[in-house]
Amino acid sequence: MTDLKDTSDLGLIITKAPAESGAVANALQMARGAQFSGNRIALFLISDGVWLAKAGQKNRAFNEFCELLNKGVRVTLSQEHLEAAGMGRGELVDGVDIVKKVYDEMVDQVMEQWNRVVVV
Amino acid sequence: MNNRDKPSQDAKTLTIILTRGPYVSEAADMAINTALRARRKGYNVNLFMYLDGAWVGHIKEEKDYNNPGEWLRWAVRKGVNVGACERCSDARDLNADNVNEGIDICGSYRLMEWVKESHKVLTFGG
Repeated sequence: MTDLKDTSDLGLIITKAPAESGAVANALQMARGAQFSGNRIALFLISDGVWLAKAGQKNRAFNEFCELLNKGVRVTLSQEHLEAAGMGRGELVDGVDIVKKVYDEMVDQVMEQWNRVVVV
Repeated sequence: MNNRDKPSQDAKTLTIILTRGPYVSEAADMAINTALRARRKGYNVNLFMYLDGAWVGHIKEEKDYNNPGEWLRWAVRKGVNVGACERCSDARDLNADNVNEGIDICGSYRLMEWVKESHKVLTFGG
């Protein structure tokens, strides 16, 4: 049974790099608005989306991401894609969970823990 | 298809829409891997290939690198309902003779039915 503390009203799967287009920043801004309205938000970073968690960036998507992180949003990140990008935990912001079985974890969150889901 | 690979009336349904072709990004890999993993966990899974996503069905030969066509064949064998947009397929000269077996080339009304019956819908490639 899913633990209620792990459920979210909105899950956002991010597959694109933060500077690839405005899509990631816009989606995160939407998520921040949803959180401001009282919704619980979760982020899942996969493929080029893992770049969002790299510390020290100067772009709008990263700023939005940090705002969400500071509000305690749950962030899950694919280890497989992190390694493919040549990054390690030491290069990431604090507060993200790195998972090995990325598709198992993503399916569990999408199907059992999130009420709504958006992919960008 | 084994009995355990047949869709269940009791299970939740996931529909995945793929809009991007193979070997241009990871969208096809993510869509099919998600479909396979969801199916393994017992969910009913629909995979609809839309726009350039329809090209994935055309990969029929073996490769010595990532092969979304082979993963798609596994998905069909494991009971994932795989559809390809009829108009998108026709525009790319894709038909039942040059795509993998088990892919239903169908109208977008099928996608609407799948979306209506689904608990969650994921779109990869947008």
